[in-house]
This record gives sequence, C-alpha cells and structure tokens, in this order.
Amino acid sequence: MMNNEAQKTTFKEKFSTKWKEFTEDLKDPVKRKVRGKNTLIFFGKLIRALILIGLCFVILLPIIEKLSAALRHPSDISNPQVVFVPDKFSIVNFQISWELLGIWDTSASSLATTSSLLNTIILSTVCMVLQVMASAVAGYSFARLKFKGSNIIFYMVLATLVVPNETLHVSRGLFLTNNSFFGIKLMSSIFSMYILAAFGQGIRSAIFIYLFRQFFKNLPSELEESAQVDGAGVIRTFWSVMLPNARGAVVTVGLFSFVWQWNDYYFANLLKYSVSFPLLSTKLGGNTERLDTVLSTWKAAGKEVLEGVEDIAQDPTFRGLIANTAALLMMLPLLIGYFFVQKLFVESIERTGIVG
Amino acid sequence: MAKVKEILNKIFSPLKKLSAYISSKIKYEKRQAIWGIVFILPLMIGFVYFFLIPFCTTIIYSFSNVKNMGTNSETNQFIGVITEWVGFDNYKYIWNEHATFKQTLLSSFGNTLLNVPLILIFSLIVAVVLNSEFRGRAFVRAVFFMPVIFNSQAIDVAMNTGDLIGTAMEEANKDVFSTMFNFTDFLTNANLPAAAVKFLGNASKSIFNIISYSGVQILIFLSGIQSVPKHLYEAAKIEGATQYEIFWKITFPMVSPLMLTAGVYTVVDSFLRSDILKVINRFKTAGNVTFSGGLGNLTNYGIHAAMSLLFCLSSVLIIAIVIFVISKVVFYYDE
Repeated sequence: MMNNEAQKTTFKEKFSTKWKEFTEDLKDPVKRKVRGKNTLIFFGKLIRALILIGLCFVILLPIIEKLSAALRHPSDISNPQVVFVPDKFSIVNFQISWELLGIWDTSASSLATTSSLLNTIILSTVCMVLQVMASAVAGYSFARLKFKGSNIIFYMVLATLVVPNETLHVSRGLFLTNNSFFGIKLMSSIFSMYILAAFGQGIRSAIFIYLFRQFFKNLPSELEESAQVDGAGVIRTFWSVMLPNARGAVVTVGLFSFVWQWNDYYFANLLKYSVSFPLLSTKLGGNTERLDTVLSTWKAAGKEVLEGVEDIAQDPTFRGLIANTAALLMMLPLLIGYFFVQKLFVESIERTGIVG
Repeated sequence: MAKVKEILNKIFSPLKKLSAYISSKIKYEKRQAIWGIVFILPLMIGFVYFFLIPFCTTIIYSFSNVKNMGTNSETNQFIGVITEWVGFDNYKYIWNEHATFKQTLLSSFGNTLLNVPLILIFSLIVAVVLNSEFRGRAFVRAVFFMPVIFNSQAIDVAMNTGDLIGTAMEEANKDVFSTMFNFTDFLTNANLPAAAVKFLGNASKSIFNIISYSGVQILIFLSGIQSVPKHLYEAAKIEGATQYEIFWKITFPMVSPLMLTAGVYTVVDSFLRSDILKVINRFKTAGNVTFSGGLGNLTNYGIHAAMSLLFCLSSVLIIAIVIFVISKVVFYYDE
C-alpha cells in the first residue's frame, strides 16, 4: 500500500512540476514557439504511424484471410461463426491443392517433367538470366553506342509496352503455329519462352530495356573513357567496366523478371508449352477440371479425409476454397524468397536511380 | 590442358589479329556504332518477328474474315491462314450490334482516367513517407512492395473460374470487414450527407485496388527521391523551410519528370486489368458469328482483332491525354 501511495504522489509531483514548466514556457514567446513546433511534429508522426499501420493492415488482410480460410476443414466453410480462427483446424485443403498443382508428382519416373514447382523454378531462373542479358546489352547500346536511327528504334521498342499483349494474341498464336523461328518450331515447346526472352520480347522486356538505358545514361562517362584509354574494346568496356557498375539495375531487373515469369499465365497459354512442361500458374488457372480427378483418385485409394461431407466436389464454395489454398501455395515460395532478398531488392532500387 | 590451350590459341590468334587490324583501321566512334548495331540485332530480330509481323497481321485481320486451316492431315504440313477482305464489317458489328463492348470500353476508359491521378498522388505520398526515417521502416517497406510480387493473372483466373464460384464465395464468407463494422452505416449514423457517405464508401473500397496497383510506381518515385541532390535539402533546412515547403518546392519539382514514366506505366497496367479484356477474350477461339441484318458471316478471329485494336487505340489515347496533362507540371532541372 505504502509503495503505491508513494508512487502516486511522485506521479502527482511529476505532473505538477511538468505543468508548471509548461505554463511558464507559455509566457516566454520563444519557448512557446518551440513547444508548438514540437507538438506539431509529434502529431505529424502520430498521423503517419496511424496511416502506415492502416495501409499495412489493408495489404496484409487478404493474405491473413486466405491463410485462415485455407486452414479450415471443408465442413467449416459455411459456418457463420468462423471469422478468423477456424473451428476445426486441418491441412486437408493444402493436401488437395498440393496434388492439384502437381508440386511433387511421385507417380511418374523422371522428375523434370512431373514436378511443377521444379519446372517453374527452372523456367523462371533461365528466363531471368536471359532477360537480364538481352535487356542489359540493348539498354547499353541505346544509352552509349549511338548510331543513326538508334533513338527511333528505342521508341519503337517502347511502343511494345503501349500495345497490350492481348491485342496480338490471336495473330501471334496463328503466326507461330504456322511458321517456325529459323527452323525451330515454337509452339508447345518450352524453348519458345527462352527464345522470346533471349530476343528481348519476354514479359515486359521493354520496361527492363528502358531501366538499363536510364541506368547506363546516368553512369559517369569518365568510367568509359578511362577504359578506352587503357585500350579496352567495346565488349571489354561493357563486360568488365559498365556491367559491374550496373549491379543495382541487374538486381532489380532480375527480381522483377523472376517474379513476373513465376506468375505468368499469358505466355504459357499462348505458346502452350505447359502441356509437356507443367507449371504452377497454368495448373492453378485450370484447376476446376482437375479437382474431380484428384478427389476421385483419393476416394479410390481409400482415404477418408473428407468424412461427414457428402458430395463436396460439386459445392462451388469448396472449389473456391481450394482455388484459394492453391493460390496461397503458389505464392508461398515467392513470399519466403522475398523475405530473404527483400533488403537487397529495396537497396538496389534506391541505387537504380531511374531519372527520366 | 596445355595442349588444349595451344590449340585454342592457334584458332583464336588469327581472329585476334584480325580484330586488332580492324580496330587500328576504324575510329573508335565508328567501332562503337558498329557494336551498337550488333548489340541491338537480337532485339531487332525479336521485335520484327514477335511484334511487328503479328501487329501488322492484326490490322489486316481486323478488316477480314479469318480461318485457320491447320495442318494437312496427310502430309502434316501447314496450310496456313485464309483471310477474306470484308471491309469495315467487323467494326460495324462491334460498334452497332455487340451488346456490351461500347459501354465496357467507355467505363474502362473513365475508370482508368480516374485511377491515374489517384494512383500517382498516392504513390508519391507513400514514397515520401517511406523515404523518411522512422522505426520499423524496413518492415513497412517490405509490406508495401508485397503487392508487386503477388499480382498474378493466374491467381485472378483461379479466383474467377466461372462466376458461380465468385458469387458463392461472396455469399459464404461475406466480407469479414463489412460484417464486423460497416463503414457506410457508421458514416450515415454520424449524420454525414448521403453523397459524402457514398464517395467515402467507394474510396475505402478502392483503397486496396489502389495500393495493389501502385507498387511499381512507389518504386519509381522512391528511386527518384533518392537521387535528388542532398545539398538542396540542406540549403532549404538552413533557410528555415518547413517540411511542407520542402515537399512542394524541392521534392515535387525534382520528381515530376518521373510522373511521365509512372503515368504511362499506370495507364498500361490498369487498362490491362479492366473488364474489357473479358469481353475481348470471348472471341479468342475459332468460331463463326452469323447475322441476318446485312452483315452476313464474320469470324471470331476477325472480331477479336478489331476489338483489340480499338482497345489498343483507346489506351494510346489515354496515354496521350496523361502525357499532355503531366507535361504541364513537369519541371526539368539543369545542373
């Protein structure tokens, strides 16, 4: 008791002394101004914190919602009492989505053609490397190796950004099915995506070329001149002087290219390579037909995971739930990877310095 | 190993001599120009093959009936695509007879025009805030760039496979948020006028869309702010400028050239997400459309080409408007 009272008095004393200081400060015009400014700064920080917390909440909410929905037992779907914390925890949804996406199909013998996760990683990595190479070379040429008409070509390349891919869908599809690229048949072969990436027509390559061009333009010309004086040729200058200095742009372009390739659906649909080379994105996009087969094989194998739920496969809500879980499963590797490279990513963007 | 090196040297030494000879004869600048063309060559091949040819054929397709004959079943060779000139019939069909195309195009047009200033202002403010020092900045930055990573067409497709699933999902787990506390009800209870309630309600609904569309723009502005010379800020601080003044007099003018880049990107990006693509994509597969009213037979491919060209034209139009408006406020800093 004594302790408590002592604390109370000290608090009162503290408050009264502070109050006295405050009222005295108010009389002095200079100190009043300082106090006013400090409170303004404090409220500014408070408002900033509130806005940031709110916006972070808005961004994270769908992910939390997805996760909470995915952890529900299928019989919990239409339970109105479940808001965030599921009534019955289960990983059944994850198991179904795992088979739906074909992440690790053990039924076939060779790995490369059956694991869609492995396939997606291979495709994204190869395309990332090719796109970085192609756009760095082109961007360097546009920035430093001027020749007649290089600006016109650059604007033409930017035009590919303005014309949506969907515009060209039919004509591209018909053209590529009826023709071959210097003797290589492009349709339904995984090499088609590699060729597109290597020839600067991959996913949003125009943005990457623009980024590299701006980056190389901003590098000091002394770097190049000193290399020239030392007798380096153009390729040597590019490879050992300019490219190592463009690390920021390389990291940014590489990460964007990897992520966009991972999420790509348009090119997989256009070039139809996913038939022989199953990918996460295409399996996710066409999940409704495959759900029945997955469930029937489960039933045939005698797994009783969905006990108490009759004819669940026909329930549209259940299908939605599975689509939701599969989407989460597809995002998960990116999410884990993102938290590892996040610092590198943000820092590299700061160093990219794209100034128009 | 030594032998391999010797052989390699023998192979490459004439090449090296040749390149040395060429470089001694040609000026460095000319060599640069030649290498410039060589560096762009793969890009040009890709551009012509995967962009220019399909683009020109799209224009031709939009004026004709298109039939894909596929392969000859006996010789397994491609017969090719047959086009039959029909003039403006595809466009006539789209503009006069198709039920929803015109309205959807107009509404997408309006939405995009509305979205561009909202996204630009929002991402500029967020970039300024993320640039300032505060505790937990690394976490907040990581969260803000997450939508860049999770914007996936495949996920959109999966979530919208058939309208049935979407509506069923909505009925089953009605927006958790709106059931917990209804924002519009709260505002009406606070005796706000109905128009204001409607506006605020729509704004709060579109906040998530705006955030998820503005990741790349935040990156662009952030890198722009980082590259503003530090001595400008120091001088302003010594002169006693407030944060507000510093933003309007230094940050905004210095970052304004990036508005063009960010604006064009916003238009392209948000136009690609509009409903109009759903209308267009219905004509993606082969098929015929028959009309009684004078138009006769049209093919899906031709209609798709005409529709997507109109779509492309309107996006170019919006970009022109955006560039025109933004170029009024852009300020170029010459050192």
